[in-house]
Amino acid sequence: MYIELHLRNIKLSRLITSGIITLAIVLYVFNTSIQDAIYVLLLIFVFIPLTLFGDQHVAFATSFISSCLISYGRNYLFLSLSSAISLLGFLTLYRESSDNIANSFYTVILLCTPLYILNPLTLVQVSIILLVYLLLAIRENLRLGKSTVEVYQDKSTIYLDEQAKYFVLIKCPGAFKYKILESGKVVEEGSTVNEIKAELSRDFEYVGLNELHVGFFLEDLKGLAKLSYGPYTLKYIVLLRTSTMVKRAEKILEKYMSYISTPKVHKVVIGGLLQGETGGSRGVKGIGQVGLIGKGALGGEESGPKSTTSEGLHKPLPVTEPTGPERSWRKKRKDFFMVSNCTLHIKGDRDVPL
Amino acid sequence: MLRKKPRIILLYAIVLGVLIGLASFTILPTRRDYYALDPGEHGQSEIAKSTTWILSLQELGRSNPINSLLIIARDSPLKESELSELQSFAENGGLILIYGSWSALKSILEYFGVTAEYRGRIIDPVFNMNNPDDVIVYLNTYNTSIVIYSPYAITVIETRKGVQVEPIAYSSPYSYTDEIPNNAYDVGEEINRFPVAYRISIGSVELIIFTALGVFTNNVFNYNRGFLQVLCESREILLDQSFLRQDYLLYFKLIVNTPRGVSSIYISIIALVLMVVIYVYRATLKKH
Repeated sequence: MYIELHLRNIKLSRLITSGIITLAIVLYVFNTSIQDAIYVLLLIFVFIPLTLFGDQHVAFATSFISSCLISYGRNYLFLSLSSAISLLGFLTLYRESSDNIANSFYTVILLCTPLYILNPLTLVQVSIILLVYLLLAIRENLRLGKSTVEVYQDKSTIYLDEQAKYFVLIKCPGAFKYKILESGKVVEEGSTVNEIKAELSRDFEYVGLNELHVGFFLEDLKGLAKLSYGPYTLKYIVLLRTSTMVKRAEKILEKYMSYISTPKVHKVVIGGLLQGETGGSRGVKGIGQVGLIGKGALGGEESGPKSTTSEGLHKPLPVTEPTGPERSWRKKRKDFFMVSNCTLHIKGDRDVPL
Repeated sequence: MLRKKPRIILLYAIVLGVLIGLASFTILPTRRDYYALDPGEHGQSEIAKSTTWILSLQELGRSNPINSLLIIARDSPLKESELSELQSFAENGGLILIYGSWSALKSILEYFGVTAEYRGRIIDPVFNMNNPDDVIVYLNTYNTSIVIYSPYAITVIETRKGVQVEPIAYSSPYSYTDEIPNNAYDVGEEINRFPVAYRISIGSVELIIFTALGVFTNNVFNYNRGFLQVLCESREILLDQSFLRQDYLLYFKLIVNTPRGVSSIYISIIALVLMVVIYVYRATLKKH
């Protein structure tokens, strides 16, 4: 049953190839001393089932090696037969294979080099199939040469949290494989017929001008012809939204807050405030844990406590007049806080303007 | 995109390199006097094409001596075991033709009961093939002339009882022995026709010995084809190559070659290895 199923699936080209191989064996036996070629003929005989039932790549390899062995007959008859066998083997590979054949072709041709050295006549059949390969490759190259690639940029200015989009339209008559590369990395690949439309997007991490290098690689299904386009450069200007910018600043300040000890705020009256003047300053969000209560020196109106809260510091710090010991401490300690009319300077690890 | 590991590629490169090396070594010419695969002047590749190579003198026991002509060319003395094999072959009706260096010939002559001494190289300024070393000699028995390379004169001093030594070929009367080896005639060097080939008969044993470095070497083989045909008649020609057993590479080349080219089994092995390599390669690709 299994054999019957296989026999039904045998392609005509394989049958013809095997038939010619068998014919060559028979002629070999009649033309030369069997003792001179007994092992070669046995090997070729073993290769026939592989030529018939093996996958396309194995069938090509066996038929090609068989043809090399047959050409050891060293006359025109065997040379013709071996050329026909290798050519049929290659055409079988080309017709039956749906994937890349170039790899198999080059591998077999290269690995059989020892056989060419032992019998330079084998170079005849190598030349023949190389010529056929070349013709097919030229045909595929011409087809790929008709291809076009178009790239459209959605918009050139985007915000940081948006994706840069671009559209690709690749046209090529017939079936082909394609790869879309961004800065040398494949981002999309596949195979299609006649044309492919693709929408691609990309995130940018940096604000400002960003460049995207897009390249395209086209190949026929058998791997005989290859064509590359590009790289093309797409330029995007990446902007920050205001709210995002503020949030970022807040995060940065929060980060530094953890390194700063709770500041002590001292009220320093410089020349006193006039009646009706208000003292104090607003705390800045993130730092502004302190709202100062300004008070006129003459016991005038209260200055408005304006404090914004920040995580971890909800209460306004008490405002105290430095007394005797504290005055001396203030001199010794490098980290001190000085309040002027409307500006709080925190001198410590770094100055933070409020 | 499938990326093959460099180690696998390296492995394939090594296998391919080894196979190419073996194939190249098999077909590239090698220089060695009297070597069947040496196409040089002193090699024997020409005669080797139409002969059977003897890789061990013990193989002679499996041949049919009556219908065989054994050609032995040596540049070093033969061993006792080899000489006894030769004697056995000759006793069974085989014809042996020997040439080579004096040391090789001396060992054979002494084994078969002939005592001789070396006189000097024969130079013939008149009857040569544009080269004083390629001397034209005349064979009485076969009524033909041949060209031999670098002949030398010997004097047969004595022979064992029952051994007959008969000169069968002579150089021209204008030849002289270069006793003072300077490639030129010196006063006192004998000018004469010198025997350069002997037939030695010991009962049924028959040997033909040429006192020359080359008779069927490539440089003179074309002149002597006719003589070889007359000599062998319908006999199979066996060419001794057993002296190469010590030289493993040359011996390997002899094994993988035949008089009609590279041996069938060697090609088959290489083709089989190639097929296995290709099959494994395909399997590796499928696995990936």
